[in-house]
Amino acid sequence: MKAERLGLRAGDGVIYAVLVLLCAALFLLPLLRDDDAVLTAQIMADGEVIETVELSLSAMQAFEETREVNGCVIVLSPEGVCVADADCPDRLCVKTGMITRAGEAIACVPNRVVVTLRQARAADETYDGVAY
Amino acid sequence: MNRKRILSLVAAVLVVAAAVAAVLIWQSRSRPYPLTEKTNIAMDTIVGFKLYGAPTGGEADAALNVVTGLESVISRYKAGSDVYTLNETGTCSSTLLPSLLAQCKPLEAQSGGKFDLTVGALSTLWGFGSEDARLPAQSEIDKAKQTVDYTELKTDGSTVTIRDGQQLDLGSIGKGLACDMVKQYLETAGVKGGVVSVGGSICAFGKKSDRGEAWTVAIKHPREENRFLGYIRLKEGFLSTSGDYEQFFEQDGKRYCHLLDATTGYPAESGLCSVTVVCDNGMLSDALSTVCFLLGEENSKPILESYNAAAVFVTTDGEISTFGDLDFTKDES
Repeated sequence: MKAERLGLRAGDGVIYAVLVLLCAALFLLPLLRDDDAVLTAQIMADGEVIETVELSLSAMQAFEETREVNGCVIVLSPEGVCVADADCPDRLCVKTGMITRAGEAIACVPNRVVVTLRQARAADETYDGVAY
Repeated sequence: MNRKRILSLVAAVLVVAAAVAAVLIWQSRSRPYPLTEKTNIAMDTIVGFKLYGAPTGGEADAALNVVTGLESVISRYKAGSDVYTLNETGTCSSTLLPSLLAQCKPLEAQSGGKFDLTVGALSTLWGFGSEDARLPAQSEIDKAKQTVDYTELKTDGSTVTIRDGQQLDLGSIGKGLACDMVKQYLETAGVKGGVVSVGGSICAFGKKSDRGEAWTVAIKHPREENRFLGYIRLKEGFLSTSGDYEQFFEQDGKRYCHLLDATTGYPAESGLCSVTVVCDNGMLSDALSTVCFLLGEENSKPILESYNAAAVFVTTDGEISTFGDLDFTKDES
């Protein structure tokens, strides 16, 4: 009855359905993004970025990769990064252990080395800073 | 096609167009301003900048220069710094130190002398953060303690004087102070918002998008690797954490951390392993987090209240509690 009052026909339902789906897609699309965004490890020495490594099985040569930078042995894996060994006196960088989340960092102050984890899209990070 | 049908379809299309416009406006308002990130080492710690809407992109480098510039004034170790000169010669001329010392004096008094910026001789003796970190003999501690007394610091205009043998150590306020100065610079430079971290001190200011949502800062767990203690959400402000987990050594099963009680000469044993303080001033948040760690939870509360500050306490038993107006969420992951 109402459809007749509005002058609608049977086929118009399809048009309305498409419009409703279009609306729904607009709201849902942002939710369908890849939340599993890949972490990258940025290695800095003496104030310069010397390497950025994507921490994923597809991008890495092996399950675990090692870099030796200014006396620090940095181990990279898809799970995270740690400084496994260092020739610095306090070895605070080794004691920091493995970092696994974007925004975390390990610093070896005596050797002037910083390893920082970042997410491909900074906007996806669930926090803006870390207090150590 | 009759007129009613056309009107119905037009109405439906208009509704969809309105929805599209609403979504686009919402998305554009929530889209962050362009991001500039930089991490480096200064003041013997990690310094990080996450800046939104930086006009030229060079502001992070300039902000790092602000930190290193401050370090060259307040470092105990850099020859030529005001503090180095003061400790070496007993006097110095400084545009910065007199006001810093004046601001800290009430807090030193409120802490009953446990927090004391003339603690330098004790800091050197314990050697935290160096390969010389060790448990000193009682006689050494007693001797170093005799040099500690903030009331003997004298300022006359820009001239600062200390007693012979006294050593100034601004390690408990320097990182927070750096946050203050960097924030001031970044706002002047036209940066729209960001988070600056200097070791355990953080400054959150401005906005990252037109929506102006709150900033979220993660707090490192004092005992567990790969875990955060929780998250603090704040619109704007300063936050500092003091804990026994960064610089420490263990001897005979006992942990000795770098947070020294100036009245005993030993690392504080207040039942806390981490304190995070949030307030509207970086240097104050840094100093207060140390004071709270030294005094323990209950004794800290009146002081926090007097500075309108809030805090998250973690005891050595692992109990977490908060004080004051604070949006804190435990990390349950």
